[in-house]
Amino acid sequence: MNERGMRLRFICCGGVMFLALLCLCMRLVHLHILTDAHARETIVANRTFTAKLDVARGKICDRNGDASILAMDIVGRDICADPSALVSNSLIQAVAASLAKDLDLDADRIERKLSVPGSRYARIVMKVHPDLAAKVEARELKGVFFEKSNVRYYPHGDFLCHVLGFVNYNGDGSAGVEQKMDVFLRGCPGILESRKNALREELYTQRGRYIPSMEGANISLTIDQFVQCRVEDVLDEVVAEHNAKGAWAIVQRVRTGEIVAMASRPSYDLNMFTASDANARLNRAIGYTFEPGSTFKAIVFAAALEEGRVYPDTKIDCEYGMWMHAGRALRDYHPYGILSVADGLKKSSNILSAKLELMLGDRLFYSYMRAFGIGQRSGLDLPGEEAGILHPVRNWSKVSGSRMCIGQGVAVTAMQMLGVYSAIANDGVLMKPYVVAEVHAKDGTMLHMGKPEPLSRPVSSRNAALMRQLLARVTEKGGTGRRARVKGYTVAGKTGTAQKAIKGGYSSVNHIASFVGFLPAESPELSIIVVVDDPQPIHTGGRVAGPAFSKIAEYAVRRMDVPASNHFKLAGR
Amino acid sequence: MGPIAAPIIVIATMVVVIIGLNSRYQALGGEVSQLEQERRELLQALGRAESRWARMLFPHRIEAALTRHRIDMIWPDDRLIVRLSEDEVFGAVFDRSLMRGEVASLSRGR
Repeated sequence: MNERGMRLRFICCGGVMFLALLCLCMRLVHLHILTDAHARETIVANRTFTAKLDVARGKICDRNGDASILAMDIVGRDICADPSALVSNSLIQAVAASLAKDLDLDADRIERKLSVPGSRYARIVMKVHPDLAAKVEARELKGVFFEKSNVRYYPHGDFLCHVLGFVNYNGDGSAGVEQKMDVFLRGCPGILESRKNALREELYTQRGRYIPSMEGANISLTIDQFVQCRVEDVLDEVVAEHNAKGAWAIVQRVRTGEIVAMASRPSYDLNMFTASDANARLNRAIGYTFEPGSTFKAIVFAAALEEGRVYPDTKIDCEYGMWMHAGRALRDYHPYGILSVADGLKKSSNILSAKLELMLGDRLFYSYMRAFGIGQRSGLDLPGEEAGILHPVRNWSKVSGSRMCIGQGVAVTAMQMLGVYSAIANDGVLMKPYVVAEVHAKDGTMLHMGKPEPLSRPVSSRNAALMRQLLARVTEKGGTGRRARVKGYTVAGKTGTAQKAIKGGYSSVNHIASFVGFLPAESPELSIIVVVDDPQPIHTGGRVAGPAFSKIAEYAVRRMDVPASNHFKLAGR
Repeated sequence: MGPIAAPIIVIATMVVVIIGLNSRYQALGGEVSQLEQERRELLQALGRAESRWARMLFPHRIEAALTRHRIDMIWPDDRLIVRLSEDEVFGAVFDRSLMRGEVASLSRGR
């Protein structure tokens, strides 16, 4: 090829390249300058994204802090599937059976979800624990895929379920501490505005706005998980042994009002709250009102002593078991003649209690009940607390007072009943109960601290001490609460066996058995209430709830390092 | 060098510097993104470990572990427990009047 031909070929190639480059430049100019605003916006919008950054909900721990986590957020998986792929490959039955086996679900229900031939997306189950999701993932099921999602996880299932509560699928606390402290726990999600490349990866250098999420605060409860565990075990035993419909118990520190344990049966698994019914979700310790029976007598005795109407050795005629008042008969479980006030409490005489109420008068007795917190919420920092039923004096009949003082015609929660005994144990000062000890932000800032808060002082320190001595006799030989005794500790308390109210009167076969008390009687540290709903066939508080009280107290005093009673005797206190 | 060469060299240098800085910037951006991802994964792993740890520390699990290792634990008898009050501790170890002085001086120092 001659030189001219070479030049021509060179010019042609250069010309083609120049034209190509020119076209490219023109296209660029067109895209960047001549494209109309709408199209430019579409291009930018396709590359730009705004994401709400997930925020982890705060942890809930017991009184020992991070060492014992009771609720936490973990990154779990939503298990999803492509129904059309499964239908075309005839895999629906096999996949449904495999998932049902791994996830403990109903295979037919999964099949129904997957039998949508035109659909490309079906969510089979939400918020699966990562360990379980990994197990499913390992099976490499065709047409099944996984999406990340934050899961509220309760490591111990139904443990402390009524206090902790749960979080619904929208992330809202819906019961217990989760609901009450939702504002602290939920945190604040962050925002990210940025651009992505063709591979849908974020272009960090083009990040526009980045507001990091503010994680939820951590909560420490006043609950001790070891005592709580013991309480729950004992309640399970009681329900099984006495064929009871339910049982509940609370352990409280009398000086501060802190709740050390609170349990209720039946219970439910917090990780599967949707499978539970309202009956199981009810925190009976604060949300179930019942007629307390004889445990309520402590109020009338404390009031009569406080008003100076009687002394412990004052003798009262117990009418040999049957007393007519205002045209209605009042009976004692065992007939007694003349009893001292001290013995009347020990033997739990209805007639003696009613006579004390008459000495006080309805209005005065009512004011004492109010001062002890009856008929009003205790202010516990948990949702769902009932106020109980205490009618105003103007609505009372002639016999109302004489029945209320023995725990009939008045309805209380276990929390209120425990409050009465805690007040007596705490030198007459009624403390506000609380379960949230501290709320800490992630950076350690204290956002909230539960503090002891006195609510009222229904009786003086002197009479509270007197009541402690009288109540301690209940667990001595001849008292109704012998089975509540704890080796090495003097227990003060009272049994309660209440007939359940039915239409038109009281049931003769359905009862509420309870025991409420505190220990050590010389210098009380812990107060405990145990309530058993409809135990059969044995139904008395002393025989059903008393032993349960003893088992719980025996463990709690050691766990909470409460000195034994001889410690106080030796110290001369 | 002609009068045009100097500005061309300056501009070329600036372009090289800008390109260098930009590529460094891109690399750092990528690294930050990667570290952010790593952090997320580590937090997830921490969450999983914490949940396992919480389950392990549950009283029933501890009891089961003790039983498995044939360890029978009992509470000490109350007579074997020595409780020291704050007064006893300070009385035994420190000169209390000195302590009071220290506390007083601390208060004054504030």
